Amino acid sequence: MSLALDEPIGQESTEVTDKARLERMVGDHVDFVWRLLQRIGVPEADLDDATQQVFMTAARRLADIEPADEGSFLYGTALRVASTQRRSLRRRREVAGEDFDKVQAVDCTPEELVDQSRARALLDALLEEMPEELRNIYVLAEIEEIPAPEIARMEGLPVGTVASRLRRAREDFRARLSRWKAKHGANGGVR
Amino acid sequence: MSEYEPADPLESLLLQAARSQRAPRATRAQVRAAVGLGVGAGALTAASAAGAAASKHAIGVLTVVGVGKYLMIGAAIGMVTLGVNRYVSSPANHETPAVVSPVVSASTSPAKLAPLPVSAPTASASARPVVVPPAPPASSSPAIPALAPELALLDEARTALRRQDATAALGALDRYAREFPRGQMSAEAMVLRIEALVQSGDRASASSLAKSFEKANPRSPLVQRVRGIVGETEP
Repeated sequence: MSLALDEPIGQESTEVTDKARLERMVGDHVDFVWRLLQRIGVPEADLDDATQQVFMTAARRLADIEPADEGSFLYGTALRVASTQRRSLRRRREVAGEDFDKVQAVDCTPEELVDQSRARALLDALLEEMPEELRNIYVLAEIEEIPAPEIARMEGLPVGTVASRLRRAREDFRARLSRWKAKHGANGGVR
Repeated sequence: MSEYEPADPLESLLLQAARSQRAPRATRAQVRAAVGLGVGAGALTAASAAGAAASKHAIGVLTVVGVGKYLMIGAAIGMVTLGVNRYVSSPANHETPAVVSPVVSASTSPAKLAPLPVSAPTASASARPVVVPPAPPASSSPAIPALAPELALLDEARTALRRQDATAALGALDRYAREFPRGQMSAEAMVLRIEALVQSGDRASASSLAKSFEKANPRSPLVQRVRGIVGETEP
């Protein structure tokens, strides 16, 4: 499978099959990929490009992807794309001399987090500070609500390891959230 | 994971804010076009409108950095050549996507990672004829009418390439260069020209143009494509 400009002339029947599969893959997974990229640190300005890169990679590798592994493939590709984007972002920040606490920079009260954009800003800042191995599993389990056996398959880990990491991830996330609440002087009472 | 309920309502609030997010229509349209799936006029309008609304994109999503520009070729090609996409005519309501996708319901439900079947999505997918939607009225989206003539010429070039008519492709691209010297799709036009030159046997010009393209657009996602076009023809 190739992209529109890459398409060799002819081979219409294979193209139709591939297009149908791609159509389904995009429809089923675009929300997941788009959300995931945000949660694992891709800046908003780069989000659309990153999402496209993930699916373009999938389109190029379509013949190599087992239908049952599409989610895993997209997840792995998204991690790689995000990693590249984050490296680039770190370099830009270093050049710009930026070094600040993004979590504490989300300056509002817990009550004001009913504004979903603020809530997501805090969530992403908290996730960004987590160790990657914990953050990824936390995102898959708690945001994407993917069952542990599926996460284990996606991560290439035993289910027990996933469960253990998820427990640590929850503790880690809550500790960070508690620090933010303490700093912002509220009782955490979100109604 | 269903067995876990966050004890802290604030944590629950944050998680819910993320779970409820869906990729914008413009993003969907871009992704579809990037992988060579058709994008209907409604989707293009949505992409354009979203781009105009986002102040960080100076001239809209259709011309955003990276592959954003490249997408429009896929969109145009998709509308004309792909048999698996169905388009409906709904020019009166531009809030309604013109692309009718068998997976459109995914936009209203969380992404699932369950294994997917390999068969065609719906029986109606192959039974319904392809209907290319008419262009939306100019007043609804200024970007689309501006871009449509560019896309038409690029599509003409691409169609010519598909029938191995490099001369016609180069003719269309020459017209594009004359009519749109500062066209929004100039990079894509150059890639098609490189392909046309290769197809015509003028590999020296193709290589020279490819080098110029890479020099002028070192970070473009089209660079790989250009290298592929020139590289694939090496003996």
